[in-house]
Amino acid sequence: MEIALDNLSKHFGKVKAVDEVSIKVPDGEFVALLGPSGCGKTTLLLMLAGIYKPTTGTIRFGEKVVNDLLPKDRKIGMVFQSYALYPHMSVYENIVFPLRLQRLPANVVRDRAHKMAELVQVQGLLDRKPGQLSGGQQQRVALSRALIKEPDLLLLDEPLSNLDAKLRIAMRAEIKRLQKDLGITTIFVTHDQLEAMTMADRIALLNNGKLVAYSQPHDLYDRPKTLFAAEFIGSPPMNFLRIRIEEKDGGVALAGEGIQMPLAGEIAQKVKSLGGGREVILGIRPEDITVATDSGDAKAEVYIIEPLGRDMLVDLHVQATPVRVLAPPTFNAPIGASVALTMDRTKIHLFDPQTEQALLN
Amino acid sequence: MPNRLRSAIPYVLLILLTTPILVGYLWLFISSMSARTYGLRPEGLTLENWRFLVEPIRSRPSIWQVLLSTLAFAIPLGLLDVTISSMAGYALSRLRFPGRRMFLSFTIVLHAFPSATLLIAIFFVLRAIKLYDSILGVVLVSVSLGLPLGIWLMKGFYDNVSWDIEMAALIDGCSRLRTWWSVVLPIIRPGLAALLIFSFLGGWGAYIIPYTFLVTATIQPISVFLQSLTGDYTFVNYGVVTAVGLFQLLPVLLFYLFTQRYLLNLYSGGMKGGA
Ligand SMILES: Nc1ncnc2c1ncn2[C@@H]1O[C@H](COP(=O)(O)OP(=O)(O)OP(=O)(O)O)[C@@H](O)[C@H]1O
Ligand SMILES: [Mg+2]
Repeated sequence: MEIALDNLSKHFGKVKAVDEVSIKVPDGEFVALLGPSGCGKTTLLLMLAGIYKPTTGTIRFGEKVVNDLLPKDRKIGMVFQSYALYPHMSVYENIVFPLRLQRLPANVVRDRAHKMAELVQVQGLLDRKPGQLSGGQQQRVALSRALIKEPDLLLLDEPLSNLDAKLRIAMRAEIKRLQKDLGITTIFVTHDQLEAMTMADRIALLNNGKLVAYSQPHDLYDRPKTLFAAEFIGSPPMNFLRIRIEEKDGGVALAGEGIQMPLAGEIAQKVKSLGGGREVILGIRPEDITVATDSGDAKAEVYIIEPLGRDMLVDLHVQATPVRVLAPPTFNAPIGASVALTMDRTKIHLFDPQTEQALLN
Repeated sequence: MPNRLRSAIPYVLLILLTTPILVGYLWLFISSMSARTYGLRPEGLTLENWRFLVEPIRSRPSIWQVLLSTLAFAIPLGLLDVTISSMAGYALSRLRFPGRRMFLSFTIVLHAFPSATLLIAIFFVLRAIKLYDSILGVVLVSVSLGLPLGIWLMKGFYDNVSWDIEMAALIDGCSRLRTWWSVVLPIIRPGLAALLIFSFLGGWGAYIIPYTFLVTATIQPISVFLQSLTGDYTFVNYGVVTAVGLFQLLPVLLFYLFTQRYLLNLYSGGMKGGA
């Protein structure tokens, strides 16, 4: 089912928890609502669920405006961050509760429950009470309870945040597989950008209740439209350096404290058109910088080296500005060494310091 | 200090503190079984004091009639108190409506209000609605006097139920009423049980209200019956008084023994209520 939000807002008194958000979710897609804590993700989800009434704006399921539809009539399934299992019911009763409410015949209920238990792998747990389950098991039960009524829309509120790192990665893949197999339109709330990047077809990035970006993960990663998006997406995060656009002898360069980065070709034309002498913020991801001993765009001093296994994460200082670089495992400069950094010209981002908008794309 | 000794200290203290009470119970027991007592020393062991079990004391109703009246008062009292408190508590915990805060503060004030000062006013009200000297009348009065505490306690229990569970039930297909009935109420069942027992025992031992508003001896509960034994003009047979007292006390003690687990909930699960 296609979901469309149109200028959707939710105010709690003076707090604008969700502020004029417009999003279209195509049928069968997996959309992540991503943003820092308190940015309005849960509020948005609860409006979709029908728990909160929008202050303004409309929610459409398919063609139908559902603003005033009760949660029980919306054909949705939801998994809460706390899982919200009914503590007084067994796992089996929890799973079939939505079907019981639909007054389906007993044999249909039993069949669907067992199929669902198998799909989500909780067969052995059906007689237990939620209190006797581990976090991961509770999460599976909550997922089966949400899926058993074959909803048109599945809402997941940070379902993985209570799991340990290993289980989280396993469940990430599993939820994605389930979603694709069942083809259910899914909206997934997370504040973990990696989760959003790996699982979602599209990411809606929220900040302070406002939608700041809505695009496919690689798009968001490669071409962030705002400083906030650039900062939020990617781990380790993008580096930011204050620089000035310099025009000299017909050529263009980015210059800052300890940085002198001549440009050529297409990128030079683009930067030149922004205007010489302009102060901008240069953004570049750790994997787009290479470290050499001889010469480069910036002089830096090695500060800390963190081996990540496959790569080395090198913290350097360019004058006073910290810069992090992902270097190959062969990297062997000692701490305190002076090195030179070279930046991949095709991967640089420039942002206006006032508007925080991207200038190059 | 050895650990053994240290852990014994609380017990020693508790034993010291409870000794007077235990001695009281002991005297009650001994006295009910003997013709006379000198301190705790009985003289002339007898079951004569327990005759009231088989044969009414002088012109009074039989103890079984009294028992029936007591139950007819205490059971509806407990049930009504729990029913109304569980509904009102839910509304105060979960719903936003005009006057909610004021209602909450009133609940506390009323709970602290000495009900004895209301007796005369209640008398006029009961007479006006023709419920003076009827069990229904005292049930209604006792329920309303018990409601502030009951509502406050229930609100505390509801406050501890997470919103998520209620939202999940709504999304799973419940109406608001169904959510309350099938999901929230079962979760606070320990609280309901505790309030029911608490309120029932309150009715079992109630004295002032029934004494004031019930004049027909056959519908008076046991505490009023007990009092009437000591209020005789002739002479007071303390052997019989203690026997009847023990008769009233035993079910309560047994009840506590088997239900204290639930009653303790009142003090742990509830009480946390805030505005
Ligand atoms: N019922 C409410 N009453 C008043 N303010 C609320 C209510 N619910 C949320 N808010 C406020 O709205 C804002 C958004 O809250 P929301 O719970 O949607 O954030 P979130 O993005 O889900 O955060 P988190 O990642 O921490 O779960 C917050 O500032 C919060 O304090
Ligand atoms: Mg949230």
